[in-house]
Amino acid sequence: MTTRVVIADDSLLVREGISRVLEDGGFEIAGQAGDVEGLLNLIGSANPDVAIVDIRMPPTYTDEGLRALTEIRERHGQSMGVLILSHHTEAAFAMRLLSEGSTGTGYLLKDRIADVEDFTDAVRRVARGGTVVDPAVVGPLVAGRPRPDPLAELTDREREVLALMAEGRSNQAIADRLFVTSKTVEAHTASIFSKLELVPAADDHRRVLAVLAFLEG
Amino acid sequence: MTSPPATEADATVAQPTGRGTPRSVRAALFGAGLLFGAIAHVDATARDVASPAYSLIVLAAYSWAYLMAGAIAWERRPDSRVAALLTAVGVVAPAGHFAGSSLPVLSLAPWIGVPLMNVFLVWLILSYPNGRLRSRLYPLLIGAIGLTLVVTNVLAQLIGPQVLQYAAVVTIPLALSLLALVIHRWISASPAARRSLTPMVGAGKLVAVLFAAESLLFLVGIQAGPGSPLRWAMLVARAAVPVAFLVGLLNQRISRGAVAELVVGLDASRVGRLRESLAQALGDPSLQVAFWSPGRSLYADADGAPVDVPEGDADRGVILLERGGERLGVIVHDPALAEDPGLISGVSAAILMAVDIERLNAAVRTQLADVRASRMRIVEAADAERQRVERNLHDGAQQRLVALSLALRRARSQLPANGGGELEATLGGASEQLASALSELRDLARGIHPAILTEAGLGPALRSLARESPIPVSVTLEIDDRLPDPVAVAAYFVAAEALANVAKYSAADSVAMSAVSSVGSLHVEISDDGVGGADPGTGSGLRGLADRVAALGGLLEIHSPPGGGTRLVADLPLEAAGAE
Repeated sequence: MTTRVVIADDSLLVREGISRVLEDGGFEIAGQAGDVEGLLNLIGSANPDVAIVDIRMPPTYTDEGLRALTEIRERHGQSMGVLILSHHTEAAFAMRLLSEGSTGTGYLLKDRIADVEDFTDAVRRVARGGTVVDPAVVGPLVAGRPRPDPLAELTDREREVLALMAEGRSNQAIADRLFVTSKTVEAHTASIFSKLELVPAADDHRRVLAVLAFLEG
Repeated sequence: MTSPPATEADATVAQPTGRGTPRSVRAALFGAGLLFGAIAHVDATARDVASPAYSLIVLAAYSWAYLMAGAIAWERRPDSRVAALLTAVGVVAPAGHFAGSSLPVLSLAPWIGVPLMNVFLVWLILSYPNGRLRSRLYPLLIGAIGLTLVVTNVLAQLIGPQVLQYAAVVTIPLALSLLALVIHRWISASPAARRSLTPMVGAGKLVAVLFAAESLLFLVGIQAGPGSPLRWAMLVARAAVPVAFLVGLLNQRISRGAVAELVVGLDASRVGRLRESLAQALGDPSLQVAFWSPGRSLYADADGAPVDVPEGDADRGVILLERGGERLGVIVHDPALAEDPGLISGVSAAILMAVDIERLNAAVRTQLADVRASRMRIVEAADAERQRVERNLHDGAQQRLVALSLALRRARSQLPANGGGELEATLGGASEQLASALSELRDLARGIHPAILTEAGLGPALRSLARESPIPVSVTLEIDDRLPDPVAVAAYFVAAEALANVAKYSAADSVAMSAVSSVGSLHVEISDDGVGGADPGTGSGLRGLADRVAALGGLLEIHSPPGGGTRLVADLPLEAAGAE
């Protein structure tokens, strides 16, 4: 069964572009909207698996996408995936998104949609209930930080694993990415959590939030 | 309302008018007095009735001291009656020397001269300081004294000195009346009038008491001769009158000095207390200072309470303060102060100056408030404009570039699977350039207006800045969540500029950034361990920041000794600067 997608972006060009890319990738486009109102109506009628929402839409062009997410969660619960597209690399935006307390949530830099494989992968993960955070958001958090820094105690491999965790990858996905076994990844994550003095999280979503909170702190 | 009668009508208070005794007449009288004294001296010493020294002492006390005091008084006010009386006493005083002169004409001089001198003296004592006699009683007493002296002198010459003994019955009450009037004058005088009156009252009392004492001695048949203690006391009493006049003059000078001091010390903080200061400086507790309130069409004091300006009241002096025909205020004062026009003009000038200072202060305050408000508006307008530009970049250029990159991807995906070749490489390169352009555009937009500030607040925004710094930044944040937007924006740009400068110039190993909000202000500090020597004057970035901080009423400081690292400190008040 194909994944049904609705797209909300005030730019027709972008909406059309995303539609084409996703159609080419085998997704079904259930509809498009130019603002929050249209998006909410569309979700009510089309019942999609995932909504791709621009963070800035009329009328204020600031955080309408995040407000729409709150509204969607209230009306439709946790069943639906929501992928927010943003221009901002600051983790604070992603944190606010994830703190809505839900699985099936993603925060992706808008430029990312041109990397077709990454983009479609992210849409699929969110649709399946996964958590996605753009590498461009995670990158600066894991890189250069002031000393003394608990991160400095991590090995390079552990840091790599940490970044992938923060992006919302599961242990299995990390293992695939790094060409190691899932057991190895578990060992790495246990070591990371111990070194950073973090309490191991119950699920992937909470793990992302905990790791981001630590990194952002 | 009609203007009340005023002694002076403008800031430039009139100097004593040209009316009065011409200088030539004054000089002639002065010379005549001296000449008359010289003749009297020569005559008296030739006849051996007095030693030359005693003769000179008598002349000095009775004549010269008066002539000098008269000259000084006339120099200050040519229309002064007091000056005329002083001079008159000095001119006729030597007449006493001619008693028993061999020259028949001169021997008559004391008959007229001595009573005349005493009349002038009493007149002077009773009319000081303005030359006016207050009631009918005064001229009556003066006339009685003059008449009594003439009659007793003539009778004494015709009948013999024993006449003086009987005359004492009349002269003692007259002397005591004089004493009573002098004391009454002082008691009934206002505090301001007493200032100049006191020395003359002292001298007057002395003169009256000695008159009485001399008469009393006559009564018991003793005639105090030259060189007797009573004669010496009378000499001192006579000399005391002109001295008292000069002391009174000095008191007025001191008042002027107090006014001058007041003017010198005049500043905004004292304008409100001007009335008290002036009342004290002038010794007139009744003094009122009122300012014209055009809105209410009345005079009001510094507290805004209406002040009643008396019209045509002889007991109150009124000075209108005007500048360029504009009514500014009024001083209501004790008329005794009007005796010294210099004092009044000084006071008027002081008050006008105070009014000017207050007006200038108010104008400056208003302008400063306007400038602050407009500076604040400029910053706010610039921020709003930055936000608009940032939005346009995202929603215009960036959206188009994203759409374009999607189109490029799609174009690449539509190439034949085997043979894209050179075209695919070209499209791939274009995609990469587009990705860089998008990234640069994003950084540019964020530099123009950081969306994270409005989204997440200053703390996350500063952390984000710290993470991007190529030099490790340790961050200390104790920030109130609800900072006013302009304060947060200013703090962010201060930190951004400081970190950019550290990265560019400092060659530092580490940076410490702190933002701490306390009651009423936000303190932002960025310090590095680099080479220092940063010049805050150069670089438009820092100057622009200083302007932005100043617009909020804050302060931006840079400490950067060569080799000692650089510390940039901004203190930002949380209350908007334009709000006062």
